[in-house]
Formats: sequence, structure tokens, C-alpha cells
Amino acid sequence: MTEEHIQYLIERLVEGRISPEEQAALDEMKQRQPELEKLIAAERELRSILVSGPAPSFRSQFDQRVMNRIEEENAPAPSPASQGFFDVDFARALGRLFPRVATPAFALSAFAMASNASAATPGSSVFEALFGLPAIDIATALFL
Amino acid sequence: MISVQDMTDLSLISSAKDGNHDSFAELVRRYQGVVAATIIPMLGNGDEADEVGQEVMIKFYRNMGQFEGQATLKTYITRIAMNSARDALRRRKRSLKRFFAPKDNERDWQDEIPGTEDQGRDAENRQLVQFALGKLAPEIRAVVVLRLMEGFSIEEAADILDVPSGTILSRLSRGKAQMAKTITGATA
Repeated sequence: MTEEHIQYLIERLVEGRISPEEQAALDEMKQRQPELEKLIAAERELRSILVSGPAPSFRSQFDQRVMNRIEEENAPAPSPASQGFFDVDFARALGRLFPRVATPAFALSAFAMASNASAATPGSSVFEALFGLPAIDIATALFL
Repeated sequence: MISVQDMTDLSLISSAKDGNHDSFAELVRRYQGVVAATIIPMLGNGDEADEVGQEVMIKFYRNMGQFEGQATLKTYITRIAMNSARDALRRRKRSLKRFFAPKDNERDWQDEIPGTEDQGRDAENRQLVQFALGKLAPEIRAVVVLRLMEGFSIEEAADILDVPSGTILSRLSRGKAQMAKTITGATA
């Protein structure tokens, strides 16, 4: 009989699950090895110590913490546009407004540049001509 | 109308699958002790154990559909809890390795020999056994917790840990021997 099998029989005995055949085998072992009684007593003591004292428990309101997490997981994910002051309606309205304002603004800028270029003084750069700036050199700019 | 307290586990699961949160909350209340009995001896009692306990319940919530009633619900939830506890121990070991050189293979639970002043003999014994339990390697500790603390049979423990019954027996034997050695060393 192996050590593990003896251990198995002791556990079956302590748990009250031992069969008559197993009990007979264990009794026979005990007659040949009286120290088995000590092992059985140690097994009983270890089990009683392990299950003694208050049962392990989580902090109070554990169930509430679990349910809060589940509700958080189940909540629909917020869209980026709905966060902060940018709500969905405002973002959509801005999208519709942009082309209406941007197109005339671009046309007006092009007209102004063309007008500036036609009235530009000779010797001015392209940048100065398009934006209607007076010709200016570095020395003048430093003294401004 | 029948209250959730009077419903069977299977009825609660069925109702929870249909989106009834009160039913699932009742399952959490019924089985939080089972989860605590697995997680706390494995990880020690603290914020991490509470967090892992919540994760166990959330995994159960997500996988309720897979529970078909072959095993008892206690065994099913204990399996999730034990796997989560072992994952947490692996994470803990990895994070400790970033800061400390590995030594004493598994010093992850309770490193100090408990003080025994001004305590009853039972409390002393309990602390010593818990100290010895914390010294065991996680795979051996898992067997001791399931067999000796939670009272699962060898076959149930083998099913939960997905190992052969012989492995449960050998780990249990090693676990007891190591605990006896630790307790003898601590009291010498």
C-alpha cells in the first residue's frame, strides 16, 4: 500500500466516506503501524483548525459593488461628440454652417487678393502684392 | 409574484439572462461566501481579493449562458474563482519580479510569522496554520483550500483544477507535509 493510498484512506475516514472494505484495510494497517493513529488525529486537528474561526468574507456591500460594475459595463458607450459642452446637435449644426460661411469667405479673399495685386507698386514682393502691404526693407522694419 | 429569495438558482440564472438585475444580485448574495472562501485563502484578505472577487462575479455574469447544470453552481463558481485567484497570483509575481530579484520561490501571501501574544490557543493555531498555508506554492495551496477548507471531494477538486485525481492526492500530501514543517519551524 502506497503512502498516498494510506493518506486517501485517512481522508475518507475523517470525512466519514470510508467504505467497509476500506475501513477493514485501514484497521489492518493500524495493527501493523500503530503510529497511523497519530496521523489520523493530526488530520482531524488540521481540518478543525482550518475551518475554525470566522468564515472568510468580503467587505460589506460586495453585491452592490458588483452590480455597479455590471451596470457600468452595460451602459451604452458615450460618443465623443456627446462629451463636454459639444453635444451632438451643436456639432451637426456647426457642420452644416461651415460650408455656407467658408465658400463666400474664400471668394471674398480671392477677390481682395486680385484687387491688391492689380494695385501693387512695382518692386514689391508677391506676398506684399497679394495682401496689399507697403514695400518695406529690413532696415526700415528694424526702426519701426 | 415569487420573490427572488424564493427562486432556485436555475430560475435566477434564467431570469438574469433575460436582463433581470435583481435576480443576478440575489445570485451574488448567495455565492459571495463561496467566492470569498476560495479567493481570500489564496490571496489574503485585502483590496486585491475584493477586486478579484468582483471580477469572478462579472465573469460569471458574462458566462451564465454556458452553465448547463451538469456541475453544481458552487463547483462552477469555485472553478472561476480559483482560476481568477491563480491569474492574480501570476500577475502579482510578475509585478514583484520587476522590483525584486526572485527568491524563496513563492513569497506572495504572508511573510511574517504571526505574533501570538495575548491570544487564545485556537487563535494562535489558526494563525499558524494560515501562515503555513500562505507559504505553500499556489498549485498546492489551491488543493489544500479546496479539499480541507471548502470540503470538495478529490474528484470535485480534480474537476475544478482540471488535473487528475492522483495529482490532487500527491499535492495534498505534499501540502500537509510542508505545512507541518513550517508550523514546527515557527514554533520551535
